[in-house]
Amino acid sequence: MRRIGGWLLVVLGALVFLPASAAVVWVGTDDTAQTGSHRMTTRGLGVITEPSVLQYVGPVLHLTVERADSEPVFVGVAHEVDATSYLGEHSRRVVSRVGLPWDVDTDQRDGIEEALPPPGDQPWWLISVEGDGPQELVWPIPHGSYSIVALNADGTPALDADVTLGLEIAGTFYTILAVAAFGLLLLLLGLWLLLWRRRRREVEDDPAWAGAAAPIETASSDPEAPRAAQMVAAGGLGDRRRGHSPLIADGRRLAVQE
Amino acid sequence: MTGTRGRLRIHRAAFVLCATVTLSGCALLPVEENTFDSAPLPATTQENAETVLERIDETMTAADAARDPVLLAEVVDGPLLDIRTAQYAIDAATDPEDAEPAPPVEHSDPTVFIPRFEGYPQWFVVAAPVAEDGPLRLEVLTRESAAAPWFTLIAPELLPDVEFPELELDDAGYVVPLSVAAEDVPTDVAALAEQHAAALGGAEVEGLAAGLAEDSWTQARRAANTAAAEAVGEAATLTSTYAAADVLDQALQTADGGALVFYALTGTRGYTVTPTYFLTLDATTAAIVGTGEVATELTEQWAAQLAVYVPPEDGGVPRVVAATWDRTGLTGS
Repeated sequence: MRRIGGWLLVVLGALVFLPASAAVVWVGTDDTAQTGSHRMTTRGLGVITEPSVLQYVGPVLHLTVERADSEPVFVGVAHEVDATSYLGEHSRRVVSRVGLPWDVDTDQRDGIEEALPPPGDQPWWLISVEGDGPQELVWPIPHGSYSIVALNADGTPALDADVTLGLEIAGTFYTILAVAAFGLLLLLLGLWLLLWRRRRREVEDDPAWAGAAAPIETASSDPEAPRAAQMVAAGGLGDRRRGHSPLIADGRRLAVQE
Repeated sequence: MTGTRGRLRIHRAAFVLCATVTLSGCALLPVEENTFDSAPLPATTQENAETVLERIDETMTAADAARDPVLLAEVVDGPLLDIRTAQYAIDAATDPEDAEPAPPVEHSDPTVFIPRFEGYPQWFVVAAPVAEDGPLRLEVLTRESAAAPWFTLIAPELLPDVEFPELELDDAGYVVPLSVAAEDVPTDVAALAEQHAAALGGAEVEGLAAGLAEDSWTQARRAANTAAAEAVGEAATLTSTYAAADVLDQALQTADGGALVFYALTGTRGYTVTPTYFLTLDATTAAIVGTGEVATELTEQWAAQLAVYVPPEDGGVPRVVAATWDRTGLTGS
């Protein structure tokens, strides 16, 4: 049973340790899981997320958008009502699901392809960034129905941009580190059990052990049995069956010494 | 048997421990499911409203200076656009050289009444003077979508010595919007406007409109008609007719369960000149008509912008709390 237990701990430990250690590397000490840069394009006015994309509250969103031609880009967060009203019947790409590290469901919805008033002129954005080159939006996600919108800063159609998504969750690094350490502990414990069992088998194969342990019945009944065997029987047999047996080890040592 | 079960328990416990520690690590993180609860959105903020008013002031001032109804239409719509467009034509006739340019439009220290909405269109009400020492104007501004600009629909002036009704506020301190079209208002506003027009023309009206017939502004208009008739004496016969021109859907709930509604009326005052008589016109009127004397008829077009308090169903008297009365046309021969 020690073998099964050992393997169980090794498997569980590996299942915990390996992904957790990978996550530690991924998240880093800034507590932020980054997706890396991904190209997102639309022939419509821009890209808008459905409110369901922001399924969890608490993380700080780090969204960096850079137009492929490095022209000014606009990224903003608005109440769903405002964002959908602003885009109206205009063509857009709708993001309905985002999974990390990068698993995105999008849908190109056709419609009007005329320019909108510049998004930066609208007063209802909760937070927004705008400019040349990479623009990073940092926003702690609250409860509510919100949409994230990326557009050309002048409101003209056809957006071609590189998008990097990051989620910062305070304490993630150390939490995952602790989980990884726990997984490593399980892994080591399992390995110790497996190696310990192998060592015990080697001991069982030892002639001295075999000579002492085999006649236990005899040892307990035969007053002429070797003294070491009696000691093993008296102190160790029950423990052996339970799977751990320091007294057996002692008995063996005594037997060897004998 | 007992030993096997014990081992199984140990294995299960080990597994549960692993899962618990791993999951509890995740649970420690400050993350929770989004409730997606959102309160209705305020139509604007005080700061944004002032920005909107600045843009409207700039555009209206430029439009007034150029007497350009197309430019004006970028920020004005509804009854106010009709009235000001007509006034541009009158101004062009009476002051073609623009010797007396229109004063700049400047909202100062506006009080903004902001409702909250679940969607669009949205609107809000502003009370502010637009000229130094001018009366407070009660303006309704609306926009169709988040991408659309704000338009001023109506701008009656608060009447002195008339009590402004206390407005109902929601639990967040915003005024409560009502929809006339959705019949949120205690009475049929379109019918009330028609009856108000009839009362101005001197007809006997019943119900809420009977209260409006006794309203001070309405009485003043009727008195003006009487004075005009007396001024021409036997020289002409005066007829005054009124009609409801435009009823805004926008209304505000008052604290007593009533409503503050907005509508526009048109008025036509016709002078039929008695044979052998003629009417001598003042310089302004003559400039519009194109002659200083009228021997047959003279027709004036007027327009009223009104904010009217409508009492709750269980009683009360309606009253005009803000109004303008502007000439929009004049013809004669």
